[in-house]
Amino acid sequence: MSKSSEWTFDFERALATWRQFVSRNPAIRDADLEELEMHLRDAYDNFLADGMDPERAFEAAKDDVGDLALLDSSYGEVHREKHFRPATRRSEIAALHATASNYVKSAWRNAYRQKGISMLNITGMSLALAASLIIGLFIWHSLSFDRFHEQADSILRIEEDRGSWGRVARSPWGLSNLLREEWSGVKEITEVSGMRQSRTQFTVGPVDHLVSDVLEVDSSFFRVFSHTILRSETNNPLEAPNALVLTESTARQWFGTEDPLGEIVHYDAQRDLVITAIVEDPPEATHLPFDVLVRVPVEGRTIRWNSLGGFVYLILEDDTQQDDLISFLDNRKAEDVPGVVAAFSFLPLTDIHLHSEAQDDYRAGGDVQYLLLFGMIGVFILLLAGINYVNMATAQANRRTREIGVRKVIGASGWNLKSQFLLESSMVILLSVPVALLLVVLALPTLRSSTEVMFSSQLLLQPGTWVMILVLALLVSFAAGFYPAVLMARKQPVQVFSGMRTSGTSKQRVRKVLVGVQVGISFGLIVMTLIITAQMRLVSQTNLGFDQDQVVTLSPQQWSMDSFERFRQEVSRHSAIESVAVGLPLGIGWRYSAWKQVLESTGQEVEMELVPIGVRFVDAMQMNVVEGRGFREEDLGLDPAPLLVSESWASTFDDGTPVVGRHVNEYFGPIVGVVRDVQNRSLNTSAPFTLFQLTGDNVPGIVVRLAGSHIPEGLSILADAWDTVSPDRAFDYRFLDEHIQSQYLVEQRLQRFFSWFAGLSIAIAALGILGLAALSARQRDKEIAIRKSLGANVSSILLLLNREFLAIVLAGIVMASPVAWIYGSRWLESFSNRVDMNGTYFLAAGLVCLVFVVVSVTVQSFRAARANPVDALKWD
Amino acid sequence: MSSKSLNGASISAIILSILQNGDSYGYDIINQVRQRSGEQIEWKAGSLYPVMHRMQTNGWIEDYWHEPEGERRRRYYRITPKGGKALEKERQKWMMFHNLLTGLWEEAGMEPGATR
Repeated sequence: MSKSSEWTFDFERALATWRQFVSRNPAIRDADLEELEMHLRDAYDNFLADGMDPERAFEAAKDDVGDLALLDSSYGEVHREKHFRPATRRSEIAALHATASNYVKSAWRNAYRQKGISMLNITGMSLALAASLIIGLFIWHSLSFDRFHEQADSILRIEEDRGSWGRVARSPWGLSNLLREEWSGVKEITEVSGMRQSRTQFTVGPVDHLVSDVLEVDSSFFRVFSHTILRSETNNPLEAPNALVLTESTARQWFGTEDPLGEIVHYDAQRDLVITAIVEDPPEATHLPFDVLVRVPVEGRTIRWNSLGGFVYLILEDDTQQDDLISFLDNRKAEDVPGVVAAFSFLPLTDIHLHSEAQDDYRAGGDVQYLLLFGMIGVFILLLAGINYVNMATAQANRRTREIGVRKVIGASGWNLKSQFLLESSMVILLSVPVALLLVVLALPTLRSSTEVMFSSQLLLQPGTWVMILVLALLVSFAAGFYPAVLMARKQPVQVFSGMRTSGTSKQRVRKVLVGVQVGISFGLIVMTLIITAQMRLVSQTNLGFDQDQVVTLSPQQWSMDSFERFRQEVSRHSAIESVAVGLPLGIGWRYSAWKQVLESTGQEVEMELVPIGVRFVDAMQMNVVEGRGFREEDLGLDPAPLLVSESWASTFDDGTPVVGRHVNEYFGPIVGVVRDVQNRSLNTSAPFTLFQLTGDNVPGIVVRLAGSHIPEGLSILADAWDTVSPDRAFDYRFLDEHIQSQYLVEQRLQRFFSWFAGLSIAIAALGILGLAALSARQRDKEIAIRKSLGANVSSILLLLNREFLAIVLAGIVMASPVAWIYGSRWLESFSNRVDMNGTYFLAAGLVCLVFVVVSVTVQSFRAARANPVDALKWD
Repeated sequence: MSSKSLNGASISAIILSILQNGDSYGYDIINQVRQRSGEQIEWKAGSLYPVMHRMQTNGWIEDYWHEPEGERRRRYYRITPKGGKALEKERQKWMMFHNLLTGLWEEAGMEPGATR
């Protein structure tokens, strides 16, 4: 019977190999191994006795002992429960190790077996993790503002509610000096001023540098704020009255590699400063960014309660109450300015970025509302990916009933199974983490330039970030893995072996609800994206009441009208310059003064503002005069100077007499004309009525309209003329349209942000629906086959499969619509000129969702619908 | 009849019953089950031993190594008093089911012992 004469089967050698193989498994102890070997020997002898040849008998005996893979998992599970009994430490560890490695192994096998589904899960999860990581970093960045100062928690900023002026962050001129002299409860106090909107000139030798972040500070700046001084020869570099402190990068820009300490710099064409220190660049997360610190004397200043000086920051003595200082300030002001109810208050330093309500912050702050919104989107996106996981895991559960049954019968407890399935979910998440990190690193530069989220990738290297990622990953894996784990662990072995399919309708209902939630979230995000985009388009197309294109604004310092005339004559000879006029640029909220006034006609209190303009301003800005006329040269003689008023304000006079020719009050000359309303401030603030008054003697600003295609040429003409009129000041200009657009930075950022994340959420939800459609088609392959053999055609089967998904999509849309509607309307409310809320956005977003779902379902079910019914049916 | 693999509800009752008739070892238990079930039930060692170990953990059975004359050394199992109680409980449960079903079948006119 022997198969070959050269080779004979050696039972003992084969057995030794088998022993070696089995003993490698740490879950199987020596006694177990011996027992199994004896079993195998018995079986072998028996098969030999039945007349089998030795080799086949051995194979059969091995088979009798059972599947080795199954063997090790069963032993692993049995021994795992044993370690409550006295046993040697070594074997406990071995058992634990065996359990863990067994879990990992089966998790990996399962992931590998379902390659497509695992890929979908990992892709979706890494996208979601990356997105929420970016959002998390952004939120963290926003919350970390100004916390780098050592005394961050005790620094307060003084603010004041000045009635019609609103809440201001700038304190009255001389306030820090007053507190130093008259109040003893202050430990440290410093006054900081600066205008971010304009640039200041610094002259180093022959070179002019224009710097926008210039802070004028007193000598105590470094005693309140913590900045790292890199180079300095004195203890307090701001002690000297003419001290100048540069940041590292400013120093490099001005002096290259030379040592800048002790160099003399001419400041603002007025005075000489000496560089006394170089400090590290301040972190991005500060409400007081600076390139340069200029020491200014505040000591001699006397209080001027109605002025706006610098920002005052202070640290109180430990035994001082904030309220004491507030009442001191309120009383002190009331003493000096009778009849005024003063309302001073404090804002903690760390609240400035997110919670300031002041109108004149040095740097525009963040908005807690948006932060919350972003956070919510982050959670939504994680939810989408989590739902994908849950749905695919539960949809697959049926295919794993046998595995679950065997594990249960041989003694796996519910806890064993739950940890097994939780491990599987965390494996998907853990595999997604590196992919997500890679995505974040790749996306950061683009994101930073497109949304101006300014945090650096440095943040990724901090241990805190890693903790965050880990916590996030664990949380998601637990949340996503928990339901499928419980569901699968609940399966009864009896059901499994009796061949019952435990496709409970409740589970399918859960899955449908989850898909509905996904569709709803995606739908809501699409609607918001559409609304924001429409509104931003409206903003950029809104008729501002003047033409912002090709307009350059200049900021002359103390020019006389004569200097302006020289400048004007110099430049208007050239065809590249269309017109030049005196006046404050429009559209960026600049005005000479603002006040509140009660309308005579309605008794309503309204905001008014005054903008000083020159004779040619109306023409240069291409404003529309709807009644009367613009200013003329001969108006310059009038005292008080005449007015142009806005159409909407003119329409509040409903007494029938013409507006032109009226006198508003004794401070203003007659109204000579009515102009179409001008949007002087950004569209997301309430618009005051604007009055334009002719200015004859001073030059608050210059606007220049350049001719069509001659922009570089026009700019160089302006620069030349500027140098002849004002040789000690560097030429500085700004394009008006850019300046106006920059006011909508937050909204533009929001728009880009929403587009990014709406796109992402659709992608993730689509991945989920794709996978689910595939599983659903596979699960119903027999049903489809029977339908087909009974005569159904491909299209009717596609319809069948699509129908259930369509119902879910519609339900999701219906649920999400009211929320999106409410949120969208509320966001739009902040705009004075806004798009109408209407069904179009909802219809469009709904269509997008529908198309996505139908395409993915159809693609997936097409195969099932096309398949030959015999293939599906022959297996039973 | 399909059930070639272990049937969860009855497995420990069967093992305990076999051991009640006398100490035995794994291979022999499997053989007894196969023969007594008319070759209908075929257990695999890989599935049986873990269950035996579990029963051992429960304190129902205990093991000892024994080498009868002319045979090889084997790991024998014997039932403990605790295992006896567990078996009694199982027995009552199965008898209850048995009586319940036979009663029902008699009423339905089905002959006891008939296969269909």
